[in-house]
Amino acid sequence: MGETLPGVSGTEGLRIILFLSVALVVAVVLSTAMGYIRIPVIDVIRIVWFKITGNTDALKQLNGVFPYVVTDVRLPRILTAAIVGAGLGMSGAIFQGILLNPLADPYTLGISSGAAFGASLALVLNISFLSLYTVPLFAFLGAMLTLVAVLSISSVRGQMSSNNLILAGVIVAAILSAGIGFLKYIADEEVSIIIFWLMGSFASKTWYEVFLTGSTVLLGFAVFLFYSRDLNIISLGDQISDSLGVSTGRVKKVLLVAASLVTAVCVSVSGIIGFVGLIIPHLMRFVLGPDNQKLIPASALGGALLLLVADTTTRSVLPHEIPIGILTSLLGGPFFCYIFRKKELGRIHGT
Amino acid sequence: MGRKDSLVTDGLFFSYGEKPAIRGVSVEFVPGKFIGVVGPNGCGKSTLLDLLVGIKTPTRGRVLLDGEDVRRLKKREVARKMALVPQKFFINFPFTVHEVLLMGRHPYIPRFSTPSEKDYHIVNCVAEQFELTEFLYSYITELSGGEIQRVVVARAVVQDTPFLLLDEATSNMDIKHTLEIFTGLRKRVDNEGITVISVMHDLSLAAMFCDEVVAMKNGKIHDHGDARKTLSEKNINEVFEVRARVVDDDEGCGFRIFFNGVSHD
Repeated sequence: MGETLPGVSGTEGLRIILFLSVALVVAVVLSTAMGYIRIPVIDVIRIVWFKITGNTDALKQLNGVFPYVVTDVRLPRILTAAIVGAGLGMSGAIFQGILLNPLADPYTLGISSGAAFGASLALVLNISFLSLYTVPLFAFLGAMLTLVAVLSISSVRGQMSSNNLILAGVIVAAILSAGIGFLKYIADEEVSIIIFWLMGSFASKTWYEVFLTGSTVLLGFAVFLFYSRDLNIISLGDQISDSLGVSTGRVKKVLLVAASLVTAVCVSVSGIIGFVGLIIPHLMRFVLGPDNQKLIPASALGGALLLLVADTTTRSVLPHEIPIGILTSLLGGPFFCYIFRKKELGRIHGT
Repeated sequence: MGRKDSLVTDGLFFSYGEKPAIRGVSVEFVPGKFIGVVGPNGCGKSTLLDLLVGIKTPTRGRVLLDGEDVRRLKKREVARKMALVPQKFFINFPFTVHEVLLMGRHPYIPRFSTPSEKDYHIVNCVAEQFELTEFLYSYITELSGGEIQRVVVARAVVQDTPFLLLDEATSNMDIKHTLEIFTGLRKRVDNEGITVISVMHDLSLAAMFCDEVVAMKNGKIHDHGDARKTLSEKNINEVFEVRARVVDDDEGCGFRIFFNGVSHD
């Protein structure tokens, strides 16, 4: 009677995560080389290396514009796109896990509507006391206020059920949508700015955004990973997870707030980019199974790859920039359908 | 075997909002016995189990596990003493049966550690005992209702606790698997000295397997003690409002219950 160790799936999962990590690094380098000014890949690597090692003499020997384009123009945008993708991807996995609902995404609790309302308000009222950062700040505040509202509406005697949370999210989002509609109506000429913000963009991002999103996403990732096994147990239902020694209520609250925070920061920087947070966790679950210890890192990497590829496409492949939210769906949707069909067919033939 | 485990409730009260569910329950669960909890729908059986494992807080009274208030113990500690099979089970994510069983080892695996050789060994032994070996790498979301229930009971057994609490664990199972599961649990009680506390609707099953029976009505203990004594014609009439005939069975185990209709007919 031999012991069957499920090492097969374990190492395979690690291999996929490793593959995604390598793919992400390659994608970052390649996309930095792509654009209006073509830069040889080797120069991209050199510039990054020289910058890290502080070798200014070597930098001067390269083409004069290249270091500026790479480090001040392209890398901030590329990294912001990848980090936001990672944040949305893993937050999606968390929301689906807590709400026990595969249809949930980072926007289920109305965070996107709150952010959109905040941003629209700043744009319409022409508030600009923080110059460029006014709109992101208002978006963030809108998202957090929405979260507070949804949590307080849905908690009854300190308990929050998934259904109440989803319902409260839908209701608050509906109210905010009406508010956004009203703001658009009175916005007159600024309406195009609002619409453009709502559809999301990574144009002209700076290192400030990279560090802001980067630190938030990293912090979120640590929290998510810390509770990833508890999240697995929670999928067995509150009664079983409580009786297995998991503080179900507390874990859910911590994860909910952390995932919302990550989403709010991402949305405030990039605008509303749908699809990533819903589809990427699904895609990764198809490939890796539902174990959150693997699903969370894989969703982060998958989300980063998708947004990076989409952003690079709109930035340097297409003749005109189109909103990235549109592109993520156009790129990710058919790919998802392909994987879904393959998986379903495989299941029928396989058994 | 010589375990000093004890589980006692001391004047328990619990209510859902205004609606009282448990109204003064003081009972001692004798260790090393198979104990059935019976009573009509809504009499507080499931609530009592939740209170016992400490996932609900009583409005008054205490549950004492080995002499200590269960609500004051660490959750992980309680999880190594008591396992629960809830009445309702629903899962939305395609974990394999093996993964679900392994979750039963959660209280023993430190955070950031992987399961040990022993954890895998226990999972495999229990899977074999519950005839789940052929499903081990199937997705739980693709099993039938009865199969899922077997997995859920097996998961609780994997938790390897001195107390095993079941809430109508076999309601979706066919009679063969029901008997197999209860026979298996009975063996654990006899051989390993664990205590099984099982909410049961089927009084015939209770008569077959239980050493002791707790009969509940309206959130209170109606009677408690030896199964043959507690499942008397009088008690069944008073608790369930049905007329029954209880007959000793010389061939099989214990006694049989025959129902003759509703009391007020």
